[in-house]
Amino acid sequence: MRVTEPVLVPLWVLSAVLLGAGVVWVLFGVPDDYQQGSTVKIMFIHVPAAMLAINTYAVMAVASVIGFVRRHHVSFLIAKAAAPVGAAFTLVAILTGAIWGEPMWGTWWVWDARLTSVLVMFFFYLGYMALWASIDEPDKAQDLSAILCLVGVVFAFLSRYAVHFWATLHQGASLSLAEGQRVDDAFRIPLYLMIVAFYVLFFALLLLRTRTEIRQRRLRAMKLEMRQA
Amino acid sequence: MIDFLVTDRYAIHVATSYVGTAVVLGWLIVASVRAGIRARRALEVAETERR
Repeated sequence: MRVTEPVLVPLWVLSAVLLGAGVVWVLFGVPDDYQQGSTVKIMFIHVPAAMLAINTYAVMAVASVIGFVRRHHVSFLIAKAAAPVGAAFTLVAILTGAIWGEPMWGTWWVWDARLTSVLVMFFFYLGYMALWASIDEPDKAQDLSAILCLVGVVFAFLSRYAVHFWATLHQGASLSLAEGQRVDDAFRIPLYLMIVAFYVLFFALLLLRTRTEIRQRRLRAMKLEMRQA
Repeated sequence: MIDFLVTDRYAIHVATSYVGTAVVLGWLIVASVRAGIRARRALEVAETERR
């Protein structure tokens, strides 16, 4: 807690500055795409949100495994704190994807492999949060929720790689280290800025929510102690 | 910007995406900050009572 205290406010300030600069750049400085028109501006929130939707689940899975192996309570609390953040980013990715899909694909939604696996991952986020909330005993809640989280890893994996396994309406990755640069600098640089801004916001939220979870756990322990005394 | 909103064919899609994202992330940020403040105060009260 002492280590994270001085980091929190700078993280919030940095995320506000980066997000503000990114949104202004995208809305006022980025040109329309020759095929997609102004809908290309949706990419700058859809892509970072989708990346974080999947990567937040990976954070939860890693934290759950560490929690299981080391019996480390804070790891479970990090996973718990990350879940609403990941669910929010997944919701943003699904909503912006649908809004982008309507003019470009001619449909809001298709049951293709990537879209469906992201939707199932969203339900795993909701199920994970519901399971934590429905069990009073924290030790039991953390173990059962971690098992559910690890079961859902397959859908996080499919959300990322479904476009490689099956023919989907959703396109493959535009930003790829392996396949080189396929996006013009006019779009790529502001996209990187928005990705960094979303990640800084993610870390600010994760840190804040983890500190809250630790405080709530301490409070519970203190109340139990006082009752027993 | 107003010109864009009036004349662009896809302005409603772009505006809805950005406003929707702001609503979802804004709600998450406000809820997280409020929960953090509540937890800190509750812990301070409990520590005072224990003493």
